[in-house]
Amino acid sequence: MSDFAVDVKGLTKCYGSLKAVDNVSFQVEKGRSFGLLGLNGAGKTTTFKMMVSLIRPDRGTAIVSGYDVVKAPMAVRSHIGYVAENPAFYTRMTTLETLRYICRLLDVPVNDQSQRIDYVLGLVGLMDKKHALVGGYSRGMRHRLGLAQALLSEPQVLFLDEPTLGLDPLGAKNMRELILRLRQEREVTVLMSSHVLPEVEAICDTVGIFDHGHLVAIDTINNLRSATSYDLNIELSLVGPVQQVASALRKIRGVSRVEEIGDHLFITASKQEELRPRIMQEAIENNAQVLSFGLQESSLEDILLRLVKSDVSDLPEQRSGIISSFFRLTRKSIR
Amino acid sequence: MKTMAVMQRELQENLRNYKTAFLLMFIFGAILMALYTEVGPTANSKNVLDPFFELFAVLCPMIGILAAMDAVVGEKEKGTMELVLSKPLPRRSLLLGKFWAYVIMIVPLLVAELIAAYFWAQASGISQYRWQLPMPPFSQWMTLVAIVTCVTMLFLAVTTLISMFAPTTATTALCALVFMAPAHPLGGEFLRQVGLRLHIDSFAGLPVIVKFFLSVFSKYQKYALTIPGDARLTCVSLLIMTFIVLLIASLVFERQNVAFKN
Repeated sequence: MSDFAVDVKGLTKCYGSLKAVDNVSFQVEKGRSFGLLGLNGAGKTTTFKMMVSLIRPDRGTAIVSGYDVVKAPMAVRSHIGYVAENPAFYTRMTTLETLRYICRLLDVPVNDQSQRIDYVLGLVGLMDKKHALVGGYSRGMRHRLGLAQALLSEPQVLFLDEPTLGLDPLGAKNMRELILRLRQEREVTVLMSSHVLPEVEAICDTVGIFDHGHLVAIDTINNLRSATSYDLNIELSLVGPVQQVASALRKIRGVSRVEEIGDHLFITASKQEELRPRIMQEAIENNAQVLSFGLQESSLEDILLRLVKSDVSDLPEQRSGIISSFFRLTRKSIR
Repeated sequence: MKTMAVMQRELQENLRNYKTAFLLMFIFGAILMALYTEVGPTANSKNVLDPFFELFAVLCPMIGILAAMDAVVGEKEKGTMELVLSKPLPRRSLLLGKFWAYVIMIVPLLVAELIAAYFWAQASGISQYRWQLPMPPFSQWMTLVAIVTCVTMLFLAVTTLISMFAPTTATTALCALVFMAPAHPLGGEFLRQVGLRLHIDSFAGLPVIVKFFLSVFSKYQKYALTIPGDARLTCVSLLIMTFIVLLIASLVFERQNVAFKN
């Protein structure tokens, strides 16, 4: 049995002439968490949907929980949990009816259904809404119900597409804590795509950065940080002749920027040489008292923006079928 | 089993969103229209089957369209397609579950209301005082009920198929109505022209295979109302066609690259 919960090889998907995902390969070990990052239209969601067998890849394959998404899509779906970007439910059904319906689709034995439903509802904090109509749910509650339905299959791999999109800060925090708890308690492998980069940093061990349908980088956040950052960002808090210190620092070879804001100096220096002792020395020699010396690391956002080439517009609207094609054609010809 | 789950959910949804009640009223209105409007029998009508059949030949496809117009596209519009297709649910089960839900929703209503209409027409004597024609025997009335039920089922399947390709529920209804509206008069004219060219002036004596294809035409269905053998053949043919349309829909849906709302 493979050690990988997800093993993606050469996954490719085209929409007409547009290559939405181009030859993407990566692996995720069991129990680990992987974040898919990229700008809009970079190919994250298409990759996600191919991995959960909602979209058939044009080339390549993905083995999820030991099953091939092309050859055994039903087996894949039985062993995963998937939470869509905007979880939608039947608005005239209650929470309990919705989850019972999902249980039936998952072939959960009738005797186990109630126990499993109570467990997941307790986990996501919707037990008191068991008999409430889903139509009256807020966005945050729908996200929680989305997670609850994904957990009904007792999944080995959990796919979360933008799990906190549109949630208020408290809702996002609760969702993040819930995902972390699931990872710890049930050793579920988590794959998530998100634009909220601190959230990815908090949850994921490894990230893959998508750009124009390509996977341009894949590593741990720390490794990516050191590989993509060539400079050190230093924040110096001083008492004394700040301008004089700033002038002295500008003369140091390897210091590319010194910015004064009040009693603070923001310094960008080359990583190639160790300049930190020299900076401290210059401050002291210029009769300044150093109150604090802080090192600012590159954020995931800096890394992402450094790695992607440019902004990407969203994918064109994809609709299936000849009737849709006819209406699209008509709209084009009207313009 | 999963087909049953989909069917039960669809029935539940349609009861709660008043679709079933609306269809009940629609069929009721159609019967009232047949009984109390000026749509009357033709000169050579022997009983009141004719005006009823003429009206229901047009209304039954509409009932089918109204019931199934959101079959697949409705799930896409609501965004629930992604939810169900991410579960181990074969797409054919989704289609069949929905189809059977519509059948269970429509057929009892249609049959019950048409039987009630028969007894009402008889009890009130409306056929005599409006058209001076007798009511047909009950068995013949049930032949009409059987044929219009089969026509409705065929249109349920056709609309389900159309809803797989249409971008919205409204477009599905529009496309199905565009397909249905000229079918009635054009079908009759087509049969007349073919009959003239081939010097055929009666449906009697035609081979079974020809009658199989003729059974989609209301002109032949009307003829079959009075001939038990042809009525049986029409019903069987319509059911076979319904099955074929559903099979095509299942095969296409299995391979279709479904576009999701997100």
